[in-house]
Amino acid sequence: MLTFFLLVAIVPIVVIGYLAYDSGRQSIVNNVESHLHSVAILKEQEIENWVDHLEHTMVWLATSSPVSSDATVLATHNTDDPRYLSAHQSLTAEFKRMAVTRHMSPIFLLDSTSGRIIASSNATWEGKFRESEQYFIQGKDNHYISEIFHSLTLGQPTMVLSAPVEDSRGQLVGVLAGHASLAQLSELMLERSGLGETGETFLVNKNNLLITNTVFAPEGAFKKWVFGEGMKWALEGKSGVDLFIDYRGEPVIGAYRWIEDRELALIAKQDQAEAFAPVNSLRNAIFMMAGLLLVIAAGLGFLLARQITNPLRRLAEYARRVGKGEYTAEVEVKGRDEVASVTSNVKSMVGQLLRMRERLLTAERLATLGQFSGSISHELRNPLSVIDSSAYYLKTKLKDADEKVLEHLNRIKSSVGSASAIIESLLNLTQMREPKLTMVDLIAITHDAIVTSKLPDTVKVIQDFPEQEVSVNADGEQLRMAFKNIIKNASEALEGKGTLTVTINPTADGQAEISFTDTGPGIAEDNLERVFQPLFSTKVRGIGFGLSIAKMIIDKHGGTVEAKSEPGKGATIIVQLPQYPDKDREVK
Amino acid sequence: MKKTISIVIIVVIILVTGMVAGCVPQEAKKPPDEVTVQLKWIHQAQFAGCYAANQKGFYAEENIEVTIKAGGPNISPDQMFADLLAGETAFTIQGGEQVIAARAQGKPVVAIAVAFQKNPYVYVTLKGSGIQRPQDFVGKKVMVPPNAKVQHEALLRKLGIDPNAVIEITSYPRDVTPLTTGQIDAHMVYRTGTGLAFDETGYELNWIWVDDYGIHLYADTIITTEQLIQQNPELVERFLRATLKGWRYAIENSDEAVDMTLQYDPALGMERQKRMVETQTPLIHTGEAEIGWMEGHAWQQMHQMLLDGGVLTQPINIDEVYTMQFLNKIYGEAK
Repeated sequence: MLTFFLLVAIVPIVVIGYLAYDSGRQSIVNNVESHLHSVAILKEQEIENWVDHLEHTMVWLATSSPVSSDATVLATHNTDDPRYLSAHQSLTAEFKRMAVTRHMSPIFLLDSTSGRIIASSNATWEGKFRESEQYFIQGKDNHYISEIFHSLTLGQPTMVLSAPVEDSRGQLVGVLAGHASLAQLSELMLERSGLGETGETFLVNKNNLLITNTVFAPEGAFKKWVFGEGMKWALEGKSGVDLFIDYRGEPVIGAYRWIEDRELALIAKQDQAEAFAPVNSLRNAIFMMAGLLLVIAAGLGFLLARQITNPLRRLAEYARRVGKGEYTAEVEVKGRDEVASVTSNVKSMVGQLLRMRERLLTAERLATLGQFSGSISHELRNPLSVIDSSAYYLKTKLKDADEKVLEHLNRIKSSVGSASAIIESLLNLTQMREPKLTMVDLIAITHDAIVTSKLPDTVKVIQDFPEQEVSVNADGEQLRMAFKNIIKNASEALEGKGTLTVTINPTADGQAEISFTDTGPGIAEDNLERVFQPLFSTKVRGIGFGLSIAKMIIDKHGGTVEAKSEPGKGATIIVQLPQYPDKDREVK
Repeated sequence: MKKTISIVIIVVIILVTGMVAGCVPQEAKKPPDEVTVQLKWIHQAQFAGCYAANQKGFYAEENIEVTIKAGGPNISPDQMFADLLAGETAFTIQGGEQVIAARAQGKPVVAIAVAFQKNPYVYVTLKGSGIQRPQDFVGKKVMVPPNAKVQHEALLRKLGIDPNAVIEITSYPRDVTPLTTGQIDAHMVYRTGTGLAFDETGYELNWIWVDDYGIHLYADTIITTEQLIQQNPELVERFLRATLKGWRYAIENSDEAVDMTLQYDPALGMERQKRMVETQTPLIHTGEAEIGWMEGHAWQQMHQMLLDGGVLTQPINIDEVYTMQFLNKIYGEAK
């Protein structure tokens, strides 16, 4: 039962634990994914804003009239022309101003034919050539944004924006270009609040080269090629959020984006170990909880077993032993629960059974005794009648003998008479047959019993009978015998003096009550029931069968008999018999 | 009885066949190709890519056993080409202009990749001298190493500077002292050579890059013969793949690259080698192209430069000087 209980406990605990964990985990994963996704999108947006801003600045500058007119002068005049010098000066001043305020340095103008720097915010740059650069070649047609590359001259990574400069007629007079400072970009990518210890964001170019530093490669920009799965997908042009293996070979959760315009992959990732730490905490908490619950369940189960199954087992064992015949088996009743109640009920049932068994044995013994006593009694009659007839002979022959001899002979005769009476009673008892029930006149039977009892004259007899007939369904002979036994008992109690009152009363509920009251010494309260038991006698003579035979007969007739007495004042034997039912009455 | 015998015979045949098949060795592992690489100069971190490829087993992965042979003042480029064409070396590292010049002489050599996409030649001047650009060389004493003459003259031509207006010095010691003692005004040096020595002087310096003026000359170029390319292109590809892998490794692991270099010459100073690695990385690549990548227009420009400079008396077919086939294969399959 304990295992069943545990199973019933384990299954829901495991199921609930798993569901809780899974749901919690999913929720945490979703949170992390959505956070990384937002971070990546935000940074991509910020990069685009940054680039857009620079581009607009460049275009605005290239198309501004001071620059346009100055550049036109430079393109159409000799270098020693004062107008050239003046235009050069104003252009340079403008570039210097812009370089200070607009995060681009240096800013310069390229000669549209040779690609030579003819004016610059940084004077040393004048005279350098940029004719091979894409930002010059393409910048002649349209505004252009270069890749991020490492500049030898600057000694650091940079990005160049350029735009064509046209004269008032739309003719190209030069290419404006500027180096963007990547400080802002670096800052942007290194910003990693909310990403924990292992979170990082960075850019990778189409050759898998790191463009910005990372947490795990703090000096990796332009010096490290990385090949994580996330950037692989980004370089294929995809954007998304997923679980993957990063460039360190670690499992991470990350957002990856392909920034098409810049041909850069943006990665925002965090180690799964860190991101999912709450999941692990959750899992551990659930495990602990589940474990605790299981321990409690086991404990409860164990207690329950002790409470229920052990007592039940003890009860079963007890029942088995009793069933096998071990009547001395015992069982303890502990507590007051249902099991204890059942146990105690079983115990009393077994007790009753044992008592019944006793009674049954007694009855068997009595029955056996009855069987034998019948034949024994019958056998005893012969020797008794021999003694009796011999005693009679002797009495006749010795009627002139002295008193003592005659006394002894009388003794013999009366003892034989007593023995005969006892034998007679025994025989009556054993030969008791089923009553043959007919409608009998109760009054007549009672009167008859009184008369045939041959009460001594010293006993006064009062007969208090109703006027009308009282009929009962009875075996007249047996009823008479019963009444005779009761009367005889009363008579013996009176010891020859006193009154016997016999009353017959029909009762309201269809019974007939016959009471025999004597004025003898009465019956002690303890004995009121026992007088009807066989072999009970307080007298020297008799062996106490009379009343028990009477009770037996009355019981068989469906009636009751009881004794009432006030010691010293006499006793009453009350018999109740059901009257013969009215509707069945025959008119006699 | 007959049936039993034939079954036994069949079983025996099967067993024997199986055993024989099992005994025959699987596609036997071919012995490694033995290859000698001739370096442009003495052992130094300038060739860290080759050292890394060798020591990290990249060559071994490609089933090549490489012997790295140092160059130096005792081996001329001509000698190196001769050895290459004689088959004593399989690959050599030379300046880009050397390849063109050799081809102009009819030597069937071909460049397969360039280790230094930016030329390391740079002019050094003292900060206080006011010489910040080549235009300032006019009337000044400039020391130019013979190997750099082509570039120097190309630069002056481009900028329209009369070469006679610049005093070219060739005889002074090739160390930092002529400049620092004021004997010369500008010194054209290899950034990763004497240039490092200048770093150590502690002087504030101006660095005037030839590359800044539209003169683009490929420096260390990996060269082999037409014959090898025709007869064993797989070997060339494998060698190049391992070498490029070695370069990438050397850039990613600069400290280890120095250690590996010192294996070849323990007498080298670690500090100097470290700075060599630092300063040469931007020369090897700018991030715009893969390591080793070559551009056709760069070769064309070099060709023009040599023509204009008189090194070539007549044009040659520049497309035969270099081949992209191996770079395309190696980087194409990586995508």
